[in-house]
Amino acid sequence: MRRHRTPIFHFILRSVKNPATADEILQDAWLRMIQGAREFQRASRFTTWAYTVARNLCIDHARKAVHRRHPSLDQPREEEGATLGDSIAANDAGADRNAIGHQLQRSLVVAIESLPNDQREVFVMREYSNLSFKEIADVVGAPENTVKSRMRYALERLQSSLVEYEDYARTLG
Amino acid sequence: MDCETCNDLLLDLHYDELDAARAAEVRAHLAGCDDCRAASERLGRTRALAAKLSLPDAPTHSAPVMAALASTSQVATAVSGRVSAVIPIERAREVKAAGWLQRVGELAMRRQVAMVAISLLMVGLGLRYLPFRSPTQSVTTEMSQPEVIPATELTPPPAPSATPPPAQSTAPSMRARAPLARAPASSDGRAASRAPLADGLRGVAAGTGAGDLAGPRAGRAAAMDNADLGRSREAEIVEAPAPVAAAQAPSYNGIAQIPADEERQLQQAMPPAPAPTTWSAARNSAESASSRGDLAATIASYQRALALDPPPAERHAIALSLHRALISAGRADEANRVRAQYLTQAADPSALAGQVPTSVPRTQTSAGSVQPSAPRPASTRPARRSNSNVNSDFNQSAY
Repeated sequence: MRRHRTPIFHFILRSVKNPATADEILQDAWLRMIQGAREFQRASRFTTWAYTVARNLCIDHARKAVHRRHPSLDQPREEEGATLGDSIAANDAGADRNAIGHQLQRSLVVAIESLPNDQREVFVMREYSNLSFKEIADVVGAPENTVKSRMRYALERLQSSLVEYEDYARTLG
Repeated sequence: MDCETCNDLLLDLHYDELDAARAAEVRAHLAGCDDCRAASERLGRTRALAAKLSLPDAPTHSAPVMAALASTSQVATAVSGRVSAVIPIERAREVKAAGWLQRVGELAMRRQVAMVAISLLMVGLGLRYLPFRSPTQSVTTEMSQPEVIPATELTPPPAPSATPPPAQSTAPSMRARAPLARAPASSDGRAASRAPLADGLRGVAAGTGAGDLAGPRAGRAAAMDNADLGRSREAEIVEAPAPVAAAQAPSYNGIAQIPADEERQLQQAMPPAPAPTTWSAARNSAESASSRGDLAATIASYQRALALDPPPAERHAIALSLHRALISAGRADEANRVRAQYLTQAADPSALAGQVPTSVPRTQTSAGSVQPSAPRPASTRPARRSNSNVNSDFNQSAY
């Protein structure tokens, strides 16, 4: 579980867009996993099951949060595109070490969180949680080809959103 | 490999989900196809940018708790099913019990439940206290099974000289017109045994003394009430016509009804209200009697009001009302006396000072049995017309 804690937290954070809420849901997911340990089918991977639990909790939170209007620290502002958390001074000394990298971080968060839910969850699970397309298909309950299509659409959207970093990306390649 | 297949496999190639042989085929196609290679490079650059996103570390403050939970597996969730705190399993039972009470409390405190409870309470109180039976029904219900003492059980009069003439069962109205203290006893046995009204009348009669009682008494309750009054009272009981009359009583839906004439007798037999001691009370009594259509009571009350020395203006108005009532009752002589005493100018000039001259003759001619009054001097009309106090003139004119 310690190995999956950070990827699952990131997956939850990109969905709920609030660190505190993500932590709460992470604990909730952890408790659900412990409670449902007997129901866990050893035929499936623990990773798939853990992400399924976390995803269900994120969906429940989204349903409950329909009427909540409090701003999220990671929620992008209307005009600037930056999140509210970006306006808070960071404590680490290397926060402004690389201006481009810092800006890219913000742009990536904005671009990822602006993706449709089905594309974002597939992208995050594949890109950052390193789940295979088959595992993602098990988590989201969709065919593998559908998952690949969502991933392809997500990458195309991100590419168009991050076109200003095209040259920077060439240097990375 | 064609370009379409290559594009389908590009994702698998970049995420290392292709086996070595299939990956070699794709790479071979990319080497010879500029379009597919460009697409692969764009995909690679996007992935490179996405990889620059640093994953935030999960909060560490909950890590020890989660590790402990994982080791013990003794956890419980909150009552609502949403995990908001980690609690030991012993505490979980208490929370679950408190949650049950909380749910019941929330259900009980809902607005809809409260409204339904209040509505049921109001309906219950209404069913308990609202009178669904009319007074007539309550009376007739009690008279449905009259208890009647046969005449043979009653003691015959020992002294014929003290016995008044036996009352005829076919003449209850005559007994009903007896003095009020005698009324309960003078009414027949049915009335004495059937209603709270009759019970009340019996109590009045008992309070007046036994010697005044006369006439037949058939109700067992009435006889028992008067048992302590001595044999002299029972000696007056001569006959019990109640069974026949009770059998003849009309019924509606199985409930016996009191005939209208008997109801009237009972009402007349009730003790009257105390005589008014002020002229205003007497006038009010006369007006109420007039509204009931009781002409005799109206006349009597007006006469009583006049006897209590009302103010001149009121005396004039009362006299006019009395005059009108007497005319309606056909008692023209008395009406003329009232007119001569109260309504002529010589009798009370101050009261007639503001009277419209045409009013009295108009009423008198409508009655048809009263002589027209003497013509009023012509000089009075212009004088009063020139008077600016029209309201006072109008108030003083009774008609």
